[in-house]
Amino acid sequence: MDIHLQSFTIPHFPSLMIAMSKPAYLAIVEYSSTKPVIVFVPSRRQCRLTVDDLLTHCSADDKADRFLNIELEDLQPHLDHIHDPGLVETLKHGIGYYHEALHSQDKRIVLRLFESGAIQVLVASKVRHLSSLIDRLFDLLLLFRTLLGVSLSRVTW
Amino acid sequence: MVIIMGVQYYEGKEHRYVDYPVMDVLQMMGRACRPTEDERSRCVLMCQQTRKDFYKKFLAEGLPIESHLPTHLLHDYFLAEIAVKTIENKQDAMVRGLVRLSLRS
Repeated sequence: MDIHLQSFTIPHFPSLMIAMSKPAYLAIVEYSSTKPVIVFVPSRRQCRLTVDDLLTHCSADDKADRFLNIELEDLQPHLDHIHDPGLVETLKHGIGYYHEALHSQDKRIVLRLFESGAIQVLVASKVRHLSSLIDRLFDLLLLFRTLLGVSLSRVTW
Repeated sequence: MVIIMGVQYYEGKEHRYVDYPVMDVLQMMGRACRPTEDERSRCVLMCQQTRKDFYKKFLAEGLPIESHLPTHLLHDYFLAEIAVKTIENKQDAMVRGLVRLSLRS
C-alpha cells in the first residue's frame, strides 16, 4: 500500500476543507484516474460541499462527466428512485455521496452504482463513534473474560 | 484509492475539533484495497502540518500497545474477584490491583 501524506497549515476549518479539494481532485486524476475512489470527509454537511468542489474542478478541466462511466440514459432509471434532489444532480456527473442521514433506499442505490463502477467517486462522511463502540465492546469482553477466567481457575482448584 | 480529507471532526458535545481516533483512520485506509480485484492500493492522507510527524511515525512504526483495566469498571472487576473469593483481604486486593492495572509491550 502506498501512503501519501499531505500537510496543510490553514487553521480555519472551512477554508482548510476548501483548500483540500484541489489536491484531492489532482490525486484522483493522477493516481487513480480509472479506478474507484472513496473520499472521507469529517461531517455529512461537508459531503455535499466537497462533491460540489470536485465537480467545479472537473468542469474547470472541461471534463464535467469524467467520473461517470455509463451513459446517462442507463443511469436515469436509478435516479428516478432517489429522494434527495442534490444527490441526483451529483450522480449525473459521476460523483456520489454517502452519509448516515440519507434515505435508506438512496444509500442502497448509491452503493450499488459505486460498486458496479457506474460512478467512480464516492464521498463518504466519517463513521462517527465507530471506534468508541469498539472500545465499549472490548471493555465488556475484558470483563467477561476476567469473570470467566477467574471462575474457571476456581473450578480447576 | 482512498482519500482522507482532514483528520479532525467537530465534536458537538465538547464544542471543539478533535482528531479522528487512529483506529478509524486505519479502518478508512483498509477500504482502499479490494482483496481480489486490486493488486495495489493507495491512500492520500491530508492533515495539519503539526500532525504530519505523528502520522508519519504512527504509520511507519505503529504505536506501543498499552493495556490497562478500564478505571470506570474497576469496582465491577474487584467485586467479581471478591465474589469468587480470589480477593479475601486488603493485601490480596493491593497485589491484584498492582499486577493487573496496566501493561505496556
